[in-house]
Amino acid sequence: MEQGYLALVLHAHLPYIRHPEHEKFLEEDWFYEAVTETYIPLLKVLEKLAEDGVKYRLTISLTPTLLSMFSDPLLQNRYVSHIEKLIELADKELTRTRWLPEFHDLARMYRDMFAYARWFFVDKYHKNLVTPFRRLQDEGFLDIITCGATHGYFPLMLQREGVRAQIHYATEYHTRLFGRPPQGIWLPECGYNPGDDEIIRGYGLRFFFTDAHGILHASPRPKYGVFAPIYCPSGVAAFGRDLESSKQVWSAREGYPGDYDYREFYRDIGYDLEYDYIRPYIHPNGLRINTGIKYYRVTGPTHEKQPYIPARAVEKAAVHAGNFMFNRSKQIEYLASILDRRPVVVSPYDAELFGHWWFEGPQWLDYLIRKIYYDQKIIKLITPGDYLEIYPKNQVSLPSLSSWGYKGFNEVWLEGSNDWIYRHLHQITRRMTDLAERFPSASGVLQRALNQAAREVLLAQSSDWAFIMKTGTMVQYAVKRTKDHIGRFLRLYDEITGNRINEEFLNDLEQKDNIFPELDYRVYASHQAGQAEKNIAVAQ
Amino acid sequence: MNPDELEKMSKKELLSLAQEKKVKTQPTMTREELVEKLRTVILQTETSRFVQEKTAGSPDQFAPFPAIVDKQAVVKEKRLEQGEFELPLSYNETAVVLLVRDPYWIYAYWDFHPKLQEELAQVFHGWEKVPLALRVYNLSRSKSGAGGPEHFDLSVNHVTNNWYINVEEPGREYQVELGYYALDGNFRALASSNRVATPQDRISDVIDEQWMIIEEDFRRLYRLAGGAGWGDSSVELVESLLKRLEREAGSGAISSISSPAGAPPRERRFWLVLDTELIVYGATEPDAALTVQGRPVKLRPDGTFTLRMALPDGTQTIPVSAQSGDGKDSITITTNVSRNTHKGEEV
Repeated sequence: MEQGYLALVLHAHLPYIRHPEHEKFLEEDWFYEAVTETYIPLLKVLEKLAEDGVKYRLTISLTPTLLSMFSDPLLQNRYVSHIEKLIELADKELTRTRWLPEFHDLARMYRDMFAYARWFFVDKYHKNLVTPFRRLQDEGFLDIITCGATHGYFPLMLQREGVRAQIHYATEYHTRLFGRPPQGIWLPECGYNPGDDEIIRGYGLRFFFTDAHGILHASPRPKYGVFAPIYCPSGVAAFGRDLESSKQVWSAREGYPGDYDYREFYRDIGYDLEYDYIRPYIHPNGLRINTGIKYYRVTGPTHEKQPYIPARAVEKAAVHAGNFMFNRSKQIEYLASILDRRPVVVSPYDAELFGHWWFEGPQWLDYLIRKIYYDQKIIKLITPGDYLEIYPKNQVSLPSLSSWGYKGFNEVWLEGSNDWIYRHLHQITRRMTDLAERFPSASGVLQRALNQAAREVLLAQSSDWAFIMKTGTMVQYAVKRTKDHIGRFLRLYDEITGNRINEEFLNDLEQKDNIFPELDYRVYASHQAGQAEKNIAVAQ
Repeated sequence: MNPDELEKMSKKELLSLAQEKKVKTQPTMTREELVEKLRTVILQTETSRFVQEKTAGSPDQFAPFPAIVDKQAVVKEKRLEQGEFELPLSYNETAVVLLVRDPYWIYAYWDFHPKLQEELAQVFHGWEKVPLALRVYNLSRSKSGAGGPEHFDLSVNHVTNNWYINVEEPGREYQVELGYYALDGNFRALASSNRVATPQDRISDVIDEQWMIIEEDFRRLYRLAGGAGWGDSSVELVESLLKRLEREAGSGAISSISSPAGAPPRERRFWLVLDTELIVYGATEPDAALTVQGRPVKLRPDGTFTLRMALPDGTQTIPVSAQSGDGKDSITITTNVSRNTHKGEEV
């Protein structure tokens, strides 16, 4: 019998970036890179584990913006062109590196990886990555949970209608894609605002996560610390992040990804190779960018990087997986000795860390899951939902306002660089509620305009924009997206209230900001609040 | 930020602020010199978000830009592709809103209706002369005797419309009023904010009897929750909470996650990289079979071919062979290329 549980949670998210109005758009590459380097490698590992009969339970949050991009034909087709271009580059690299054996082997590794990605994406799953995730869910390996519809940061929303709409559209879209309602939610940026659990409960969600101090500072004092969930007064369970296991993977100094044998992220042939040669594979305006082909290992704190040796890196991934498991076993043995129940250690990570930044991350996960299954009996992988089945009785306590951002509260999203957005975000959310109440049953063009207005509010709310403004790279893009969506909303608002909807403008927005095609603007009405809960009650 | 806050900061804090604001400092600078330097920079760059502590009768010494913000809403009615929307500077309503930043700071933004602005400007002979203020209520604390919640006032500069407010006590409820001091000296509220509650910065003292745990065990749990570095006291916990994520900004867009391996060091270092590539090219009959160093090469439809290879040091022997489509003729040309790199002394 196991002594405790490990709940691995991967949070997969990208903001909705899709620009049909441009042939090539730099920021769209984030999606293509993540597909090649993170989502497909992770799916490959997870499918292989399932195929090999390894039983595992993993929680993964797929945000509605990411799911929308997975499902979008324009981005699907653009990804195919993107990966084919990469295959072409890798082919050239095979020739170019003919007299450099170490690099030649690496060129082949990338050639194989890209060809696999193309096969997986086009031939195996017909361009839609929702399918393999859903399959792993239906087969009982994954618990796929939801997030805010556009990853809006809840603690800085003024109107609860805004939070409700984020959760409403998220659960609705999720249910449509996965054939069942989500059991839990990953709050965007782990941002918990006391009382939001009431809204969460209204949508039948049973659990969410907070950072460690969200639980540790809960009141009354939580008996098990972060090693068991607490029930909010609303009855929704809150699980706290374990910082020790987070640090082992995340930390720049002590974390695994900085190992000298692992692949160096910052040496990309997009920057290293002769300009005319690489020109067709970088930005059309001539700007050097990452291609994804990287030949060096971290090596050490030096500029003289050594070539990457995959066999050594794989060995390290295995060692690190063993180390992680050993530490969790010790942690859980100790906890079990002082607690009167089997503890759960919750380890959430950004999915994009795996494969994209930490190239060996998917292999590490593969080894970890195998080792846990075959090599020991102390810990068992679990999902929060399963833990609540084993321990349905939990302490009632209200978590504290918290996030997993720098310093643990709201500062990342509320500081000098980005605080100007909130007066506008609050204004448009309030106006959206006004509109929804004023037009309880619109139809035709008016209905379309109202639905589009709601989409603009949602897209403006993505926490990514404020985050990018703070971190200082690609700021212009984040500012433009914020202003565009707010501006589009304000214009729609004027047109709707002035009874002069410009259909051409509306058509244009419907093409560009096409997220959640089946959304119903009426969700924003205040009097809808009780309704959703009633519907859930009836459904149960 | 309020320049007066500089006075309360340690030298270390000042230095890191200077770094954040890209202000040049010298190691020999005293704390006072740092304060002065930063004060100038802040006044130059942050006048838009400036509030001054109210001191009765003192001139507005920190208001170098007394211009009134243009309150005309300017949403440009043009097609989106042609440029960015300009956001309105005001929504023409008198309102104040509070947000929580962390246990010790709340944030207020506000807006005035232009009509009200005009009226006040008339009374005070100019908008910039209206003694605007924010009254901050700590709803969790009652004033001794007189009743009502405790409060303090912050004077508001006319060119700003938002401010970070330092509140001492975590885990309290706050509300602010936006208003002005009338001619009789009394505060008149124009708008009232939403209420906000700041989070706790420590373990709750409330203990549920049904879920008791031995104090010592709880302390152990608490330490474990944050890794080995945590001490017993909640102060240490908070400190480690604040510090721990320095390199793990949490999450966000893929472009912004700091690489776990860390960015390359950015010390001053002059450098030079040299590499060579070799282009081997030629032409034969389009239907011929061609090999370069024994490996087949695909010809273009016109019979030409190009290979581009990185050329390391040493000698490469490159036999290029072509065989005619009917297999009857074959030609081989061999070329030798050598590279010899010599690195001079660093001067």
